[in-house]
Amino acid sequence: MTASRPSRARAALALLALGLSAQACRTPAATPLGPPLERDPRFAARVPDVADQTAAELAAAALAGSPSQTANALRRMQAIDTVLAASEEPTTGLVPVSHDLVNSTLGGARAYRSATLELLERDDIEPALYERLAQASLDDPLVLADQRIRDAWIIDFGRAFNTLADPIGRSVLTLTLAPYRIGRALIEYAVALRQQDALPLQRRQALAHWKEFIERNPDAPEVAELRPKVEAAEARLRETQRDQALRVADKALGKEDVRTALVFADRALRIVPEDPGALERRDEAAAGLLALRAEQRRSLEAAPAPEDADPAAARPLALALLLPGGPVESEAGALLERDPDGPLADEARYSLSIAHGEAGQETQMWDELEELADESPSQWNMARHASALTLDPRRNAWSAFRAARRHDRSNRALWVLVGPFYAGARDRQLPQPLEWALDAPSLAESVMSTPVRLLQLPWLPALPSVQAVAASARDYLARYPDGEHAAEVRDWLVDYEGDRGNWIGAMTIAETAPDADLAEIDRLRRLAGKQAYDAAIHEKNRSLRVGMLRLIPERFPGTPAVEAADAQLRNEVEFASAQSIRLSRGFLLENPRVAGPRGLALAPGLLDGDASNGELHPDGVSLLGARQIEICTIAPGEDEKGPPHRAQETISAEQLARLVSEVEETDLRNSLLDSDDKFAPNAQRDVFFERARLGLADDVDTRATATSEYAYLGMRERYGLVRARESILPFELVLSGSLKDFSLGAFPRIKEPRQTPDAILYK
Amino acid sequence: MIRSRALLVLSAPWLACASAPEINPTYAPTENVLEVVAVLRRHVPDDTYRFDPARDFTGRNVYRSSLLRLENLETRQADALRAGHLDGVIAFAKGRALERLRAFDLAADAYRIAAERDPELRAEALQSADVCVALQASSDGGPELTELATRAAAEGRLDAEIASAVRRFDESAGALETVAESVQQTHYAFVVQEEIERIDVARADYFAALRRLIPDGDVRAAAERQRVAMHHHDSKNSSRHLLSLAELYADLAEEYVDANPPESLRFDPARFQELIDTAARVYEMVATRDGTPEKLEASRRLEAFLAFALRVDRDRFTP
Repeated sequence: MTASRPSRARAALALLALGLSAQACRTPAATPLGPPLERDPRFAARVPDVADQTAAELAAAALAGSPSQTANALRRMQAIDTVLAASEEPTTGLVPVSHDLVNSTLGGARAYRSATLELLERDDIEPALYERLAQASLDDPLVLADQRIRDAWIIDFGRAFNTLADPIGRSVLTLTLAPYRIGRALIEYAVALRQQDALPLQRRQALAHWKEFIERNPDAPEVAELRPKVEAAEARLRETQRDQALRVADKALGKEDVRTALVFADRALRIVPEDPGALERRDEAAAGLLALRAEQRRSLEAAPAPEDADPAAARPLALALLLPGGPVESEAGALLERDPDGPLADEARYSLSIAHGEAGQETQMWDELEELADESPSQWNMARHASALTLDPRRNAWSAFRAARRHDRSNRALWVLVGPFYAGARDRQLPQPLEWALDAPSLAESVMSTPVRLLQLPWLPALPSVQAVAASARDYLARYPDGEHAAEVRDWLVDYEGDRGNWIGAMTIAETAPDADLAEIDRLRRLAGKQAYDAAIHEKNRSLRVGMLRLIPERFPGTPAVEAADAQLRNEVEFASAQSIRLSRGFLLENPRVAGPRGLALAPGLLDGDASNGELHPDGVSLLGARQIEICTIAPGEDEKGPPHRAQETISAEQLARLVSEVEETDLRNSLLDSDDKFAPNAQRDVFFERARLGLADDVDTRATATSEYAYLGMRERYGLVRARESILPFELVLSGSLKDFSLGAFPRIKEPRQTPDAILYK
Repeated sequence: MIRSRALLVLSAPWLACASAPEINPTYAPTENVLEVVAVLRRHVPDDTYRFDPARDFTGRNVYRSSLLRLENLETRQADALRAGHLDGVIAFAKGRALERLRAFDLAADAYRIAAERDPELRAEALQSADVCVALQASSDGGPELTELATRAAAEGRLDAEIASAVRRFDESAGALETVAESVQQTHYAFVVQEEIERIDVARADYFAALRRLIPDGDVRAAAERQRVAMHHHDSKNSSRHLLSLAELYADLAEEYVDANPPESLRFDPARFQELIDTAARVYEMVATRDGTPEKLEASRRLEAFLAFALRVDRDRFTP
């Protein structure tokens, strides 16, 4: 409400700015007449009046902690305004802020908040102060807790409402389907309710606020009412944490990962001791782990030697295996020939595969190992070793690569067929058949839209399963750079990296090919150079940016990127500045105090929309560090879309201090008056401003990380002439049509409140 | 009493028919020496500098499980092995396993036994014993260097102690480089590279431990960690080296905040930004390496590190 007047004023300024800009665009620009800045503007000394003196006394008394003097000063201030009002003169406007100052001396945050709420009842509070006080009045743990509880309630109610509104709204034209749709929505809702945490995020936030309130105000009367709420919420929080731990334990048990299951079942038991569900899972996981360890121990033991054991028979092959360059193939062949079904036949087959692998017959080696792995481990002891090798995706990377590709291809095919269900039914922590049963109607609808997806297939981005293919491909090339399948794998990887725009990666891989196609390498180098250049110019850190640009000629010689990088480097050197804080023309037009004599003291002709006497370029004015500023005007003969004419000026330390104070105050005030114009913190800018205010700006910090590239932009520059406003209504009207089930409908949907910025701390 | 006997009699046939718990044949005990030797031999040429050591079907380090299996075979099949046909083979195989477990002195002993027991293995076994002796000499850590340095700092002779430690690191690395030249084209090349990497890491750890005691200690520690990450970017531990570097920068950032509270005038946003940027960049580098456990570690640490940065007001640190 209170922000309406200033908003209108700013809108008018924006319109004025638009008019001036439009006018500026029409006439070709000329060189500015006279200097762009007014040099050291002088201000008449202001003699403090009685209101100023009273305000100073009030501030001094408040800081000194003298309640009686503070009260007296406040009374005097009120009296001054009363007299001014009685004589029909403008009042000082200092009374509300004086009250706030007095309120701030009251003991405790609660007392200040009560007094602030009372102060907000006044009708003479200026809008920016009103907004600040309103914000302060909301900064109370109980208020924040109530807001979060309300959010949680809206979410709960909204979900229930939307569950019914959606199917009913969709069934306006197909009423016969209404019972089916409603039934399905209710089942989905029931399942979602079952999945929901016992203490959802917003209620966890409320719990934290309640606890903070109790800690801060242990003797407050509200504490007695809050304690049972806190205890109940904490019990539900423990329930939530236990459920989360048990969900992980269940998943791990499903994958026979007993170690993880044990860890999470234990965690659940620590949260809720003696919980039967956690105990059951802990026992199951512990038993599984004990069994696994017993099996592993057993495998390390040695079996008794058979009666007819002949260790000497193994010696020739053992020696061949141990000696470098030993005749493994012939000794293994001989052993196998002697007794093809004997107890050492599988050792011989395993050894043969080693010999073939080392001779470069990679495919033969893996085929032999896979054949051996398929044998029964109860009959052939080497089957388990062969199986361990063939199942290791890092070692048997070619097989892993092929399997991953098959999986990815089948995923793409399934995506065409069933859309989002290609990866399975939605995870609702239910038994899989039930999950599929719940998804069956959606699945059927998805199948109906197969032709649409078939058309989309050429533009389908890579599915997540392609990452496994890439990982296997990299593994293969790392282990077998000259392997039998290296060329095929390398080609695939080059294509993959190219498809995702990683040309540097593609070039690096292509270069490793023994018979690389030079024309292709050249093409990839050009694209890689462009990628490196793009990455460099988007780097925020100046020194890193320069370093990246310098690397381009070295890594991508002969490509157009080299020329661009050289030009950019020259530009970096030519326009290097310690700071680059920009005040755009739009910002200066919307905030004339900043452009005016108490701020920048910009020549008025530069902002009058008349290009014939010179006009400020949309880039505006930049603070370059020290006391240097750069003024960008529209270059003579150019328009505002052309490159600006840049002129640097040095201003006095006093003028710089005034300017940064004006900019900061204006920015803060704007942020209070317009919710879209949020105050954006910027550490480097603030340090520069701080030093400028202290008159230390000449002591330049040249570190790249000390540079701020913050830009103050006008609202029109940010949002355009007409700003999109978010509806204040708690619901939205949805018009919905679907080709999947040929439904058309309209229904209201309750909007979920946005999560607060600190929500991440509760997830 | 009679009733319980009757129950026992009635249940006897059922008990007799009940099968014994099923035994998984995959985990059956090792059958013979050749089984272990074949598996071990498969992994002797492995490049354990670039790739993780292989694991057997139980998920254990294959060199360790081979050693244990050989020892158990020696005990369990003592009668069958008494003739001594495989004594040399077993000792030699144990040497191969032990050297990959960094027990170079024990490996050298095993090779000497093999040379004594089996003339066919003698030449190779003695050569391997010599390499293991050289590796043992170079990898012998000696006294705890950090402790020595702390004591030296207290006694005011830290510079001399650091110079001595650096000399020792350089000598060890130099000796290993010499060994490396003599074992090119053998599996020892990878073992030597691993040892050089260990010395480089020990040196970086030394300077990381001393960084608060020496002037510009933080810079030196960071430089040493960077050196390890750059020299050993092909190593299987390269992600771990990067994580150590990121961790150092993260520690420096935390120490900086402790020493210079963000709300104080001493706090320098640019310095803090440098530390945060560097740590975050290095964590991100590791977090993008698919298929490695360090990816998860780096992602979680990055998350934790950025959560730490939330402590700092946004007007002092703007991400």
